[in-house]
Amino acid sequence: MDTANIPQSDGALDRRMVATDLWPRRLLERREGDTVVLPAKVFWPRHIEDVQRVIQAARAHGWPVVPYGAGSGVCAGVSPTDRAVVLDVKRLDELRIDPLRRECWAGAGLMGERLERQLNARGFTLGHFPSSIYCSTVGGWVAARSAGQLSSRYGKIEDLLLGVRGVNGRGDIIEAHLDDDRTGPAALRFLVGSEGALCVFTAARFRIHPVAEARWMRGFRFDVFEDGVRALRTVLQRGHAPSVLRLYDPLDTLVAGGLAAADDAPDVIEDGPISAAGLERSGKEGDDELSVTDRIAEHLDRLALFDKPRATRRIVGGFMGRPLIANTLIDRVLGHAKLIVGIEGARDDLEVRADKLKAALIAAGGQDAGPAPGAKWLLHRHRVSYKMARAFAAGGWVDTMEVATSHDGVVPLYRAVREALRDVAMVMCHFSHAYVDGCSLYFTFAGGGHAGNGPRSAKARYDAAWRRALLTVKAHGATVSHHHGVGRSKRNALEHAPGARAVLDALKRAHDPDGILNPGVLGLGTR
Amino acid sequence: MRRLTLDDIALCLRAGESAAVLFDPAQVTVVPGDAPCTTQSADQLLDVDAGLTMAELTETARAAGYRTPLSLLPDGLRVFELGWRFPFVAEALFHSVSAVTCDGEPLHSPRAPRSAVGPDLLGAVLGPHPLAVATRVRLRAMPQSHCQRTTHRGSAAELAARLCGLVHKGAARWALLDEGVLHVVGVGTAQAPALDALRPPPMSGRAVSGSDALALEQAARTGRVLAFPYLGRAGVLRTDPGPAVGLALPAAAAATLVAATAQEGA
Ligand SMILES: Cc1cc2nc3c(=O)[nH]c(=O)nc-3n(C[C@H](O)[C@H](O)[C@H](O)COP(=O)(O)OP(=O)(O)OC[C@H]3O[C@@H](n4cnc5c(N)ncnc54)[C@H](O)[C@@H]3O)c2cc1C
Repeated sequence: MDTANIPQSDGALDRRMVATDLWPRRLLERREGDTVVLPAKVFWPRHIEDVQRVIQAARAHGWPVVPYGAGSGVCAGVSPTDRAVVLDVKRLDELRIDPLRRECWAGAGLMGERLERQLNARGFTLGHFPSSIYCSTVGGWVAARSAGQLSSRYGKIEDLLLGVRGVNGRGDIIEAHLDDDRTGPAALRFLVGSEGALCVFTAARFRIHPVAEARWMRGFRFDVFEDGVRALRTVLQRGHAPSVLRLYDPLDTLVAGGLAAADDAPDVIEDGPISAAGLERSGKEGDDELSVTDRIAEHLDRLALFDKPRATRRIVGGFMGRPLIANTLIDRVLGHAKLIVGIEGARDDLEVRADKLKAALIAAGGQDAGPAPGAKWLLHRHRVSYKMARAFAAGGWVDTMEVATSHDGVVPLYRAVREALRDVAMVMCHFSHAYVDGCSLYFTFAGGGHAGNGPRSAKARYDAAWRRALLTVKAHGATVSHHHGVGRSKRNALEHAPGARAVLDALKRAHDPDGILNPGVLGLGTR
Repeated sequence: MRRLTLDDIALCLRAGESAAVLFDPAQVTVVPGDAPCTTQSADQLLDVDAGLTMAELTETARAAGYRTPLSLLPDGLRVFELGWRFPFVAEALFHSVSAVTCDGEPLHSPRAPRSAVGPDLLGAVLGPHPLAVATRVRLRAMPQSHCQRTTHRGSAAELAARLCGLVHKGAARWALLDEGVLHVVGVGTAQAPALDALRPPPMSGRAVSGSDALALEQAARTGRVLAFPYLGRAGVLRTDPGPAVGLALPAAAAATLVAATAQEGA
């Protein structure tokens, strides 16, 4: 129980670094000068026994324990109280690759980019490329059920996972494996996605893939957005197995600069392992999931409004604070939808597969826009805003909601969410994780409002947007999160039948009888 | 006799302890609903009563124009047992479930292709320590009109490597490696039938990594390998009964599980 030898700090700056994740509501609060609650202490465990000792001490003293990866979560999963200790696991960054068995053990604190580069160096890829790959960890991915940009081919993190190791709230070292006869896959299934409320992961065992030999990418334009949505389904159910499949709604397409047909542009098939893995060519500048707002901010930059920040805030806040007008204008000019598709694999096979895929998309109503949109996406796909999004600085607010439903449910849900938010936020959407049996919808909301409280304040509008959006999602029978998790921000939207509640409570009691692990996330340990 | 609670079983799961109580599936009754099987054609899913046997399910699905690999499993096995006896199959094929826990409460897992809303409730019906009995299951199936079957012959090592390649590619729906032959069912135009039932039928199954050619080869030497390449799952079908399932149920009440521990029974 002695924690004295474990690297730790109670310095204000160190505690500040791990006091929050990137939940946009908190960014809004900070912009308005609200203070951030700091945890009592931060520990940097070097191995699993350090984690165990901290948890045993926490149990003895009744400290809440908050596991921390890289803080890129967006749902208030990291939100310690002033009595809490934070376990920042980034020093648990060992990687062991078993090339024969095509699997690896990765430390929970390994950052995504480092993991992928080390695998690439040995000729492998994990196939997991979240936009936040430069600022998120293995433990955070497993805890929040992350999804990467190539999920159509490699699956989400839980599909890649073979096992986990960690320490639960009793201070026991635990392991769970997909191929464990004694528990079946249940033990693993219950731990993945537990968001730090059942255990602190120290390492994860993944299956890995040889880096593909070659890749083909192309863009398609859909004049009728619904045709694009149907095309996602067709492509997957007909077994084309694309690695990239992304459809942008007309507003998202418009903001990104539209798309022209270019069916005479020749196919480009790229060779070589590094180009196939894609990481080398992608930078921190470019395009990512928050890019729409950044682009708006870039346009504003050109007007040099940032020299006059208060004026900027008034203008941006004013425009974004009138979403009904903005949405009406947008609806008038909306045009086509953009689809980016890519396949990877053996070179010989690729041309034939590409031809078939192209034909399927054209038959589904798409117009070939050539290889340029794909190449552009590839180049910019990991651009991540490491700073507070400029839209915030400019006086607006932005957030994203990633939900999932059946193929039939996609268009009705898309329309209903846009309609529900019409007078509180501008809404755009893309579809970047599609499966044979359904699809995820990734909404971006952007709004404004004045500082402080009151019905027209930014905070009130932000809250109203989320409240309405989640109600709409639930009314449509969709799941409230596909890959960001629940944290504290969406916990009230979880509605479990009594049996489900009882199972979750039993798991919590079994792993964390004193309720010290990340209390409040997922609504666990709060009753 | 003692009533087993969720906490008892959750503790078993946590510690990975072997089952202290026995489970007798013959004692479970899942009362069939009005519609034993309905199709969700847009998503290639079947909604089925969990009391259906594999033979009934195969027949009902066939009538609706769908194929599943479940015809490979014992005819009399019922859908709710699948998660206990063949967890890797259930894991790949169960899209979502409605179930009752051993305390008699209802449970529903999210009806979405994937989600991130905490521990996966599907786990409650998987493995030898189930926390719940499935009553209705949404199953992944494949329209017969899309099914194409191809066959390959070779050594165990060659076929295991080929199967690994399929998992890497992710396109085929399921594949069976049995006695030097690899059958692959994927999307095509030919209306090939699903695979025939296996004789002798397997009694249990355990997961192996679909990326691990060595494990697949080893598995192919001792049993048959059933893989779901598009879901990255693979497992070995075995003729032994596998680990005991750790619960016992009274005859009439599917909703209430009563357990007799070995010690308490003694
Ligand atoms: C710009 C941007 C882009 C993003 N793009 C994507 C994307 O494409 N796909 C995607 O899935 N997500 C995305 N996210 C969300 C975020 O990156 C993921 O949720 C990621 O999984 C969080 O990892 P992290 O290491 O930063 O975890 P943190 O934010 O540190 O923690 C997240 C949650 O997991 C818990 N946790 C962390 N580590 C552990 C551990 N070792 N053991 C137990 N619990 C732990 C925390 O307590 C918390 O509840 C994005 C976020 C941003 C800001």
